[in-house]
Amino acid sequence: MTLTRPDAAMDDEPAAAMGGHAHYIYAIVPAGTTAPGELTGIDDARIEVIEHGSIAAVVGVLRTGRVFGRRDDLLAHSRVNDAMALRGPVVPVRFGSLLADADEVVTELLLPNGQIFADLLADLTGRRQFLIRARYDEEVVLAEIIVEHADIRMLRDRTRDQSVEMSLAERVKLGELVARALEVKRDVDGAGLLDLLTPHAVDWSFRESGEVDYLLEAAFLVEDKHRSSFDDAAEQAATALAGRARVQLLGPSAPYDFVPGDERWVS
Amino acid sequence: MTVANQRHPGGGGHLQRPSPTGLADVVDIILDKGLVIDAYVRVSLVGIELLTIDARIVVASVDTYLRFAEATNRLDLYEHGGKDLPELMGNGMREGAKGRTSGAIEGIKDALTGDDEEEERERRPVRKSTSRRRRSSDE
Repeated sequence: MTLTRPDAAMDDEPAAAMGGHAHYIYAIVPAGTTAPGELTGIDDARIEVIEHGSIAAVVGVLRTGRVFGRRDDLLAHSRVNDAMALRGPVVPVRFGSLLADADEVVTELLLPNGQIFADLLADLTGRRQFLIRARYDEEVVLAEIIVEHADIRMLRDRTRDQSVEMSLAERVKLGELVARALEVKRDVDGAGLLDLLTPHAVDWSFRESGEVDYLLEAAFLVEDKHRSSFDDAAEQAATALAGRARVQLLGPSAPYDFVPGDERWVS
Repeated sequence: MTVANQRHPGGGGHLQRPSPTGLADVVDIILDKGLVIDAYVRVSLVGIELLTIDARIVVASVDTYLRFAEATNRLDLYEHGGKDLPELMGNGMREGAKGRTSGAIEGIKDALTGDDEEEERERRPVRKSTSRRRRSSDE
């Protein structure tokens, strides 16, 4: 198998010297799915659908031998996946996946994995991903913590007007106590959010972060027929947290969080 | 982000619905997600792999604690009489978004320019990881 090796052409000299092309893989969809005519992908390339049996690969021709992973590349990847997701089930492929040509798309990708892809697509039919992102109003929640915890209040008063060097140990202790208090709040508020949202989803997947204002970030796989009830629940969650946290709803998008990731599954 | 701060009276309307058109959102949503084609078949483009390393968040680091302490000390309690503080919320949000954006862009840049990945990890102790929970009864 001949694979293009873009790393061999990372110099500033663009494609002219290399001039290679490859097939960039955006997603797997059921055969019969068409791409919107106006949809373009990376390098503004036309989007093609290569079929084999009951499945198909959504691809675009990519010029090799240039720096890859730029802003436009990422946006194009996401644009194509989300546009296809509006038309039916989609298995998004990891950003940056290439095959040498259309033949390889069939022989290396679709042919050996037909059943797996068909099963995945069947499982995703009529379901779409939504992302819920909840962030505390940092100042409000820290104020709550200061009021609720006498030990934090005391350490705060003691360290506030001292230099960091003079009060390092106490500051670390203060931060640790705040981190713990935040965790307790997250557990309580996060559980409240999940109680509202999970009854309307078939699956969910958490994303974690250590930022001060992080409350919850989770992707939800939602049946089309439950979309409005999920939406209502998200609205309710936002109202319940109003003044303390902001809740964002993103989507529908391709089910990025609900396809196999690094597991070895290709024969 | 201006929409984010608007409050609609009379219940409802608190939910924000941003369109994920910004790079930060897209990076967040897609970068380490999606079907991975077997290493034999896949061409990993220019170090993109570096960004997909799953790392647990390190909340228990001195740096993080100092950051929390700093945020706590900075707070002027007298400004927080339990009132509605939309401007403050706005600031918090912009800061948060900025942090994520620059982190991600830095990550990509580092990956592309081949900077030492360990160094990147040390600089950003707070990373994302994904855990999953399935509810089998509804399948």
